[in-house]
Amino acid sequence: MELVWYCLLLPLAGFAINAVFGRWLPRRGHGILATIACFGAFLAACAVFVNFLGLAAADRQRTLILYNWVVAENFRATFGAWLDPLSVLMLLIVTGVGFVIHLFAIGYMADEAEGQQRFFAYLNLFIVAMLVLVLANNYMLLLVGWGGVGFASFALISHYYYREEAADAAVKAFIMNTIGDVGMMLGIFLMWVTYGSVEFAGVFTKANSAGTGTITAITLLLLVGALAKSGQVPLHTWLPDAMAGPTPVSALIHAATMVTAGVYLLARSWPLYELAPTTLTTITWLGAITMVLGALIGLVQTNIKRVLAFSTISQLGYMFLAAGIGAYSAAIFHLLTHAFFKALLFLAAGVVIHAVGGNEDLRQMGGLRGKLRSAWLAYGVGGLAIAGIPPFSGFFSKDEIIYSAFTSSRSNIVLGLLTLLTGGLTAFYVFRSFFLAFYGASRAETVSTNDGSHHGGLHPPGATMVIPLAILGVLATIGGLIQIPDLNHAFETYLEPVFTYPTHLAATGPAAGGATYWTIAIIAAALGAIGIGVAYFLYVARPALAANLAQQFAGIHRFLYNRLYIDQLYDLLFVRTTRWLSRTLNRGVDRLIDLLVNGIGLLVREASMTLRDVQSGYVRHYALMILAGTVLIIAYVLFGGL
Amino acid sequence: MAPLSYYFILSALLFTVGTVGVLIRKNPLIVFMSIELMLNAANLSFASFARAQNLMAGQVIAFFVIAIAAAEVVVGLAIILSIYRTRQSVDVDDLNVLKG
Amino acid sequence: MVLFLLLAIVSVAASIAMITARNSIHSALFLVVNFFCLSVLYLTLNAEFLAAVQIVVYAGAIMVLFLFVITLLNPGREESSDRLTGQRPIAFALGLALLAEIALLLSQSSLRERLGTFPPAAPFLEQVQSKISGQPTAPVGNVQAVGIELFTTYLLPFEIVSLVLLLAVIGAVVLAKRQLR
Repeated sequence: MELVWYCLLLPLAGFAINAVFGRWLPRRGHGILATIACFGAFLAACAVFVNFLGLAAADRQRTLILYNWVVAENFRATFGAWLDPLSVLMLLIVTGVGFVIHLFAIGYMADEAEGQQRFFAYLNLFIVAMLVLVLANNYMLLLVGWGGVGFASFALISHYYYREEAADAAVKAFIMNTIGDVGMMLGIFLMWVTYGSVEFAGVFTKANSAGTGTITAITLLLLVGALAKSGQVPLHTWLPDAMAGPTPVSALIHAATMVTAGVYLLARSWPLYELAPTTLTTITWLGAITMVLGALIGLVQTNIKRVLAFSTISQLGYMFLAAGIGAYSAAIFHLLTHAFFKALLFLAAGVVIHAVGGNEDLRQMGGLRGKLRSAWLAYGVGGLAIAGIPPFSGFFSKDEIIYSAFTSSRSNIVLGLLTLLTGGLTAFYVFRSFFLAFYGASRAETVSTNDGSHHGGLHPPGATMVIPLAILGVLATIGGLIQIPDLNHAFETYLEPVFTYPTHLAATGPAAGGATYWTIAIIAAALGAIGIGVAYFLYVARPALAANLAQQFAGIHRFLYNRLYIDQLYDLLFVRTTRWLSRTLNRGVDRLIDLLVNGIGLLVREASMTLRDVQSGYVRHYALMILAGTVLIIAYVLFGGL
Repeated sequence: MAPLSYYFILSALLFTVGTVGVLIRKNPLIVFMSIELMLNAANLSFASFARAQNLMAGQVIAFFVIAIAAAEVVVGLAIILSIYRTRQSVDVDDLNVLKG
Repeated sequence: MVLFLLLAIVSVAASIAMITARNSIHSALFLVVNFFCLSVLYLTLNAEFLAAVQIVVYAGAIMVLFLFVITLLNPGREESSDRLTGQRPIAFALGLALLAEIALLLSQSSLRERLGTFPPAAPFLEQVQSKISGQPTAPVGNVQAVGIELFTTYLLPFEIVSLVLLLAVIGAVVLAKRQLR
């Protein structure tokens, strides 16, 4: 069996064992089993990767078919793996980050009395679904993974299903994702109709054969799926709410892997997207809007996980923007580093939340630096990385996007400036949460906690929680070094076979470097530093000033704090309208239908009662009927125009 | 000789009389006889058609009709007998358990 | 012509008498008269075999069976007045309608010209003969012709009819038995 199938098989086995035999395992056994399964998958992925590096660049595209999955008439979809540098990279990210977070979850969930079996079973299921998604060799199979991660996400968000907010968030995530799934499904249908194939190979080779309008429709429909999955405007509202799930889930699914599936889809389908300029413009601007909005809303959130959620949305906006302007390699590079530093941030936040007994409110933290050194360090490193401070990983990946935004022929100066400024905002809000949580005086007592189990004491993180922090910390620090313009093009070279760059970008390849790049990079880094400085000034040096500012700009503050009222807008537009419509229909149409249905019943009843008399039981009556029928039939033959 | 159409008219007359007999009599034996009369009317038609079409088939089918009629009479009379034994009545109208 | 008219009048009269007779024995006897008339008519149609079978099976076997059953079931029993109001007039009306329709059908038949005449005695005898021997030979009798048809073209239906008769005998025995153990 090909090595890559072990990546799927091991987590699947982990899921099955946990799900079926889990009840006979000890309480910690679930986590250990799931982690081992995931680690096995990671080792297999590493082996695949090493094998892969051994091949010549031109040979790094293989399709492994496991079996014919759907064969109907001339429709054919296989269950197969599409191995190329991109999918192998995703394989590594998913299994690697997945393993680290599984490990973390053992410690994080250790105190949970029940639900561990469920939690780890679903976590493994998620890994399987995500791997199906990234390995799929056709859009049908990709959709299976796509729906699978959606389900796993749903199941894990509602892990604390007895909390209303978690259950609601899960439903919301599911509905939003379903909107995306439907869009994507329609896109795949249209693709099948247009190209007669849903296999990557079949579609991409024939990509040119369709008209621009059709391709635009296909790509836009696929984009709906990508937007929903990656929490992009206007389908982003589920992602912040999804933080109701346990923190490892937020880290794995809603930061590092699943939400990047949209970016993966765009990058994977680039031969199609390159033929649809309208779609690309849409992606670019939606990405830009998401990037700015996410950052702005992140400025004022008080829940530490929500800050990170909006930062995820914002960073995904960066990636979409990059994909939109053709900088696919930069988008994937940022996806990689983002997986490291955002998982790191979430896990550090998880340590904090775990330590203070489940409280996520930044206003009730503070002064944790001395007590939680590991979390402080990890959050700091993650923050520096996301803020784009050299030499942390975010610096290289984000600056490549900013550089592309300035130089790409599909971009313009406005987009460039937006990416730059958002970088500054990012640095500010992440460090705002950092300073609020770790500096100043502890505010744990000043606001009464609603958690009875918390008595002011801190739970120190165990080894299984610190080790993942260390691993991700190192990766977030040095992860960007694999691609340094002018010095090291390892990443781009690696992805080269996937993205044969469109000619208009070839001259200014994202990693071309040169003076322009370094100028922009220095400005970006400086803006990041300024953001950090401002955050320090407002929340450590002069804490009162922040509150003052908030009051002075109360309107804007409330507007941002309530996330631009987009949720309320959707509530008004869709929920209330639907409810009103339903009620109206209930009152008006339903009664009409009742009348119809009951009327039919009444009619049948009455008719039966009348016709009942015909069945007199007298044989001679029946004989008479037969004769009458005969006479009528002969009459029909005679006079019926025959 | 009479034209063949006369035969058909006779056949139709006998058939109609048989039909009316089935409908107006309540004694199952007479109903049965009426049915036999209808079968005979049909047989007459078959034989006449055989003559008209110069085909042997008509006569052969009439022969089959007679054979099947014999079988039918045997079974039918047996049924009437067993009904009579259980109900002590041979009135067709007493057998109205089919009433809906 | 005279023979036909005589037979026709007698047979129709006998049939009407049959369905109106109060006594079922009388009905049965009128039916026998009817059967005899039909038998003679078969002879005029060159269906000698049918005529014989008519006498033997119908007048002989079936009607004897009828009479036998009638005597078993209290003959001469008066029928009670008709409970089904309207049955009688509707039956007559429908009967007349049926008659009219059959007449119409006959007048529109594709065989109209032939029906107007009395075609000459069946050349089909020679056809049947040629079917057997491959060449027309001396004409055969009606009984022979029917026999040849029955045992060649209609062999399978013939066997099935024999099975049906067998089943009828078994069924009659089963039904007529006083009690099934």
